[in-house]
Amino acid sequence: MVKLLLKNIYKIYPSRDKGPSIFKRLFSKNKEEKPKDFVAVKDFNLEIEDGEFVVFVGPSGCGKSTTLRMIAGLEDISAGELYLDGQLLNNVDAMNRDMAMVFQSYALYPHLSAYDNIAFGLKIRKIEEKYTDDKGVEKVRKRHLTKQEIDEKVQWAAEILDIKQLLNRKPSEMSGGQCQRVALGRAIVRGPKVFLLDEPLSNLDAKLRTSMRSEIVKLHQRLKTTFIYVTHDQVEAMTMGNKIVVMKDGVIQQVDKPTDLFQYPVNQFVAGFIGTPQMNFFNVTIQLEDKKSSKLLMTFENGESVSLDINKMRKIEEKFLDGEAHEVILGLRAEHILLQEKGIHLYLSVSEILGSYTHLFAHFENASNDYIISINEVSTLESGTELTIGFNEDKIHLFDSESKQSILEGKK
Amino acid sequence: MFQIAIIIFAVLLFIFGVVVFVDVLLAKKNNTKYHTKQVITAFLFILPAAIFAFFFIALPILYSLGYAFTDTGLFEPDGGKFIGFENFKAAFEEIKNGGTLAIAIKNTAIFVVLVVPLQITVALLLALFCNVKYKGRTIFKVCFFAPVVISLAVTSYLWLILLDPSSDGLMNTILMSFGLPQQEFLRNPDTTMIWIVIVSAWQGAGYQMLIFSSALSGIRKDLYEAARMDGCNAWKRFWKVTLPGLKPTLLYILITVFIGACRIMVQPMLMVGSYDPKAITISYFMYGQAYDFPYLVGYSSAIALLMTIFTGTITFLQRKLLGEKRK
Ligand SMILES: Nc1ncnc2c1ncn2[C@@H]1O[C@H](COP(=O)(O)OP(=O)(O)OP(=O)(O)O)[C@@H](O)[C@H]1O
Ligand SMILES: [Mg+2]
Repeated sequence: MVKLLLKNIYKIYPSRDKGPSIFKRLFSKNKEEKPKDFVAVKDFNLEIEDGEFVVFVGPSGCGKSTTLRMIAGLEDISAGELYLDGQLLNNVDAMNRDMAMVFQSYALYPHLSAYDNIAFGLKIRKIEEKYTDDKGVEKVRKRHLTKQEIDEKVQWAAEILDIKQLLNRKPSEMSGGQCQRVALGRAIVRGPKVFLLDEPLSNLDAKLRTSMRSEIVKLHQRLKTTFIYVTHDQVEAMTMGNKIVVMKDGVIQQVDKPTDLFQYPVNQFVAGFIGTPQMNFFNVTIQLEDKKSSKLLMTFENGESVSLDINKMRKIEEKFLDGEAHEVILGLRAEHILLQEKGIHLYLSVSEILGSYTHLFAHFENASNDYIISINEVSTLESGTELTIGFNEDKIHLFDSESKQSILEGKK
Repeated sequence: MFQIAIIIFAVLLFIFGVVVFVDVLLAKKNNTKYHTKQVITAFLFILPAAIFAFFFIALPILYSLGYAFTDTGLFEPDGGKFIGFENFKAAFEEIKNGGTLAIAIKNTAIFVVLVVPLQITVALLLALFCNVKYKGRTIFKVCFFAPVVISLAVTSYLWLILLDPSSDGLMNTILMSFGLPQQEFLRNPDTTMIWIVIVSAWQGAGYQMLIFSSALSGIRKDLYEAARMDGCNAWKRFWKVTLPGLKPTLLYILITVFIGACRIMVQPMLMVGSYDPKAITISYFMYGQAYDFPYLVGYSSAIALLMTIFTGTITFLQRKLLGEKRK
């Protein structure tokens, strides 16, 4: 069983800036003026079971690649521990970790053909083989794979990835998608314990990306090995992963299944990051109508209010039910906003017709920022039209206006 | 003076004519419009460089070509008469009889065979050493490059002092302080060429180091990372990633160092001198034949022509054998 354990992992890049000059440091009273180091990954804790498809997702610069490269061994771990099957990996060199990596840039060896690129790792590594010597004692010896064994494996990988006809080509003679398949072939052929993929599809066009996405998922189902996949694209993350790690500024925000991430985001960042179009956020105040009732009065910035039944909502934190007014952030996905007879009034700015459904961009009277409403029909509404919206209590998300954390109960 | 001006003018006019003719032909072939004005402008831009090249490169080459078939002497530049292939015959005769030319060829061959691999390896090692990031590597780069900028004459004398064969010589003092025997260095016929090789490699390697080091920084970092993930240690990464990445550069350096080595002359001349058979090389011999007794410019030119043909052929073969196959 292959289990990957990341414990309190940090990555700290020392500052390039050398700080004040020697003279300044000698004569200044404040001796502590040290340049600040950059913490790229902060207290990263994660357990990855055998065969899982884990996706690291987050905005650019949040430390996904850094984390992946630390797992690969291409980057030193500043603090914390990394275990594979209970073995501490911190001081094991990348070449001995038995992991394979697919790079965003493909990183194919330009002077080798596709075949030799795939066979490269097989030719380098030795395998352990049991044998019995003359005296009948069982021993282990190391040897290189034979040409035939290598050929079998390369052909097997080429078969899976459908690149048999490309094996004689050099990387400069292949398209991006073909290079990416060869890079995948180079990774799978060795049968590593863990696959690491760093934005492998970001150089491909949208159509190819979609098809390669399902190829990779199929590959995972076939190989049943652990995959760790890095992307900044939340759609890729949602469609591919069994377990998604959402990161921001080097800190894990939430680790969950795709559906749970969508339904139970733990904070406003995750809620806004996952799902398209982006979740709408309204600044509202909530107040229990009176201490005994189960009616929650929610007032919007234009002064209009709706009354919600707290029994239909996910359970709300107790301290917001003390009968006082509390400022909170209401999160509502575009598809969960309903156009109805009674409710809050918005004014249509523009409508975007996207085939069978329409995105309506609407704003409060005398306000400029738009909220998105998705409706399942082709809209004929003119801009400036008054819209009346409402929503179901069980679809809402509420976040603390200061900490931005969800104040509704998570998944039961 | 007037005659020379007319010659130049005629030659340039001729070249211009050829260029225009070829240009018009190409334009016809590609069905593109022909712009006379642009061609003239372009030609005017080339003109200064062309005059320079004509005087200092083309003309001497042509003259030398002509001299090779005459018995011109140094003090009678126009007085030689045409003697056909006699000079070449004489050269082959001298090689066959083991004359000075034969010794010069042997010495040059020893030099080329030793200095090319030594200088390239040293340059590559220095480049690798300077390409690792550590504090103060610029100082090393400057030190390694310094000999390239210093005049050959200066470094030759510098080494002459270092390699003084008397017991007061710097090298000998050091050797003897370790209890090693005193050495003759350049005076010992067995080691003369070896020391010239060492001095030349030391002097030249800095330049190739610079070229190697820019080629090294051009190799993509992700290839090294991919190789690491594929299980290559540092040694294998060098063979599987660095060397293939350096291949075009290596070929270029091989050719330039080879051609340079074939022309070796200054170090033997300054460090040994007097056409001493210990260190005489083809270029040095050639120089001596023309500018010293017996002042045979014609003979010297013939040898120069033979050498050009020889180096040209080898360079061509190197390119053919080692070069990338183009499609
Ligand atoms: N060698 C380095 N020295 C200093 N800072 C670095 C270094 N490498 C990366 N960083 C910083 O670490 C942070 C995380 O980088 P990382 O490459 O992991 O981002 P990422 O999440 O992969 O982003 P992207 O989606 O753009 O690839 C970034 O802010 C980056 O500026
Ligand atoms: Mg990245």
